[in-house]
Amino acid sequence: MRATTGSFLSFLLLVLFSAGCSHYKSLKQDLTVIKSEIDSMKVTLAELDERLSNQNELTRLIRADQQVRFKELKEDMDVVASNITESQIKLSKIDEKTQQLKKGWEEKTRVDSLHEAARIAEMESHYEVARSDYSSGRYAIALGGFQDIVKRFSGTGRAEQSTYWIGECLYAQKKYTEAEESFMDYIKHFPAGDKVCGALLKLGLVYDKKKRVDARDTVWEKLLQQCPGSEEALLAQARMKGK
Amino acid sequence: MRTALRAGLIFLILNVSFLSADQIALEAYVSSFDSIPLAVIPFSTGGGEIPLNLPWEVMADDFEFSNRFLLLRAEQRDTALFAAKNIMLCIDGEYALTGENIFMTCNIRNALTNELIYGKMYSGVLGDIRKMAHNFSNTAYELFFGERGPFESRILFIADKGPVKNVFIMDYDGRNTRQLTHTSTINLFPCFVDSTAFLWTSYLKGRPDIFTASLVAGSPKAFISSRFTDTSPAYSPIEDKVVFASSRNDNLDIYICDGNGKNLKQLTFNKAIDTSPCWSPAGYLIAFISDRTGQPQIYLMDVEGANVRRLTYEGGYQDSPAWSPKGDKIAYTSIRDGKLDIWMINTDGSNCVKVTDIPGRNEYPSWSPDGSYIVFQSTFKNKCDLFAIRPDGTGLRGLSFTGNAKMPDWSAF
Repeated sequence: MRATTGSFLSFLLLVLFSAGCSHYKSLKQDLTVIKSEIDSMKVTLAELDERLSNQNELTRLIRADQQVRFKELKEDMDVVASNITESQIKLSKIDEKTQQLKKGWEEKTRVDSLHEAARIAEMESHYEVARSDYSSGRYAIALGGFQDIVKRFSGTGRAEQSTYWIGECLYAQKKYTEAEESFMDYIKHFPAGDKVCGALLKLGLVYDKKKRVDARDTVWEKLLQQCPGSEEALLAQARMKGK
Repeated sequence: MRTALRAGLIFLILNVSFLSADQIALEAYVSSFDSIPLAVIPFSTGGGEIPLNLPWEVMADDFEFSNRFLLLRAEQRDTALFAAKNIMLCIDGEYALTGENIFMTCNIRNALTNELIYGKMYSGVLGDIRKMAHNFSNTAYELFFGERGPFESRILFIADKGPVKNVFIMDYDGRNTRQLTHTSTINLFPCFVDSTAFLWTSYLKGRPDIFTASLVAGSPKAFISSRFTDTSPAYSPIEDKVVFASSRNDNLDIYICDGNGKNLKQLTFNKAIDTSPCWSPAGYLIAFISDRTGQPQIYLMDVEGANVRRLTYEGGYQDSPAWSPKGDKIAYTSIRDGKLDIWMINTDGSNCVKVTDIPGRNEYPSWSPDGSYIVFQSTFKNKCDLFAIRPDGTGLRGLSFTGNAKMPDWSAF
């Protein structure tokens, strides 16, 4: 039993030994390969170190370059910022000047507008006063008022109307020669004016007062042509018929 | 002699010499105050007593009516009272009555020093005592204000008795009423021509025609007569022209003629009714009523019929325009809210204001010669009488009290 056991153990040891030798050779081969790979890797590592070193150098150079560039950029940005600030200041000044100009323009416009409004109000006031003087029978005063309007507010509707009323004031004062000139002046300058029918009627009446019947009829014929159906035309027709 | 005295009232100016200093003092005084403080003292008598119409009372009434004096009716000269009331001027006088004849002196004095500023002597009959007093009131008024007062003015009016209406005349204060026409028909719209004659519309021929007559005596004489309606005459002393309304061209239009009734001309040619013309004081413009826009409104035109323009736009009915003596306003009758009242408007169409604010029908305004009052007919006290009111609506006073007076025309004549 003991022998069997020893034999078995010896056999086992032999098997194990055989197996161990075989494994050793394999391990040795593996080790060689590993050594070879390690060597290869060392070479690679060295190459990598070198490349890394190169890369680091490159990075350093790039950083240095970037720093320079950043510095330059910063300087450029400072310049730009300065320029922007300068521009802003300039813009601000321009804006200020613009505002001043705008204000000035607005003020001028306002003043002009006020001046014009005041001028119109003054003209209307003068006209109303002159018309009121006329209605109240103060013909000499009204005449002065209308003449003032014609002189000061030339080119306006009121100046046109005042030209007519100058003739009326003169007619009311029986200054027929001056009234004739005034009505003729109106007809000449405002041939399509609102008061042309009245001016033609009154011009005819002036000629009637002066016993210039032919001139009267000529003017009134023109009135009948120019203002048919008007009250002035009816009056002229009646006067020509002796009514 | 008595007739001669009655016919010709002799006005003698006793003292018309002014010291320049007095005049300057008066002018400064007038320019500084709206109303002049003035005392009126009873006149002393050199013989006889005036029974009625005491001249100093008449003068005081005149000055009070004008509303331009702070009047003191003093019983006697009282310089302390005058000084206390700041009265620098007083009116006194003296008279002597011999039967019906009166000799009177009226004075304006410095109230404090009694210095004579102005004096005037009158000689006439007792019946003219009011005329003398009114004349001196006017003289004083003209001295103080530089314009003639209304105290010698008169008013023409119509008084009716049943269907009959006749023309009467009275002094501005309602006194001295006298009947001018004695017809048994209808007479309307009287107006003065001058101090001797008047025009009016009468149905003497059975239709409305325009007649003229003397203010003193004389029978009516046809002025404008046709088979049509001729009515509402108005006379302009400036141009010696008469404007009136006539229907001789189918409908009522405004016509104008000379003071003798000749040279007739048509001024309006509208198909509407144009009537109630009245003259501006300068005699160039005419206000009239026309319903050409559907309702009676006031229009203005010149003496040739040109430059027609509408003046009133408020109120549905306007009538009887009356131009103020200064020419800047027109008083007229207007119906507002169904009530007749006197209204006033500037000739430029502005400032339309109501003058009468009293019950009744108030119509037919006519201005006093100085423009200080407007006379009108009113049923304010139920019956129709004449009243005077200031243009600002104050100072209402009755002028007639018979209950049948209407259509007044107040004139300087």
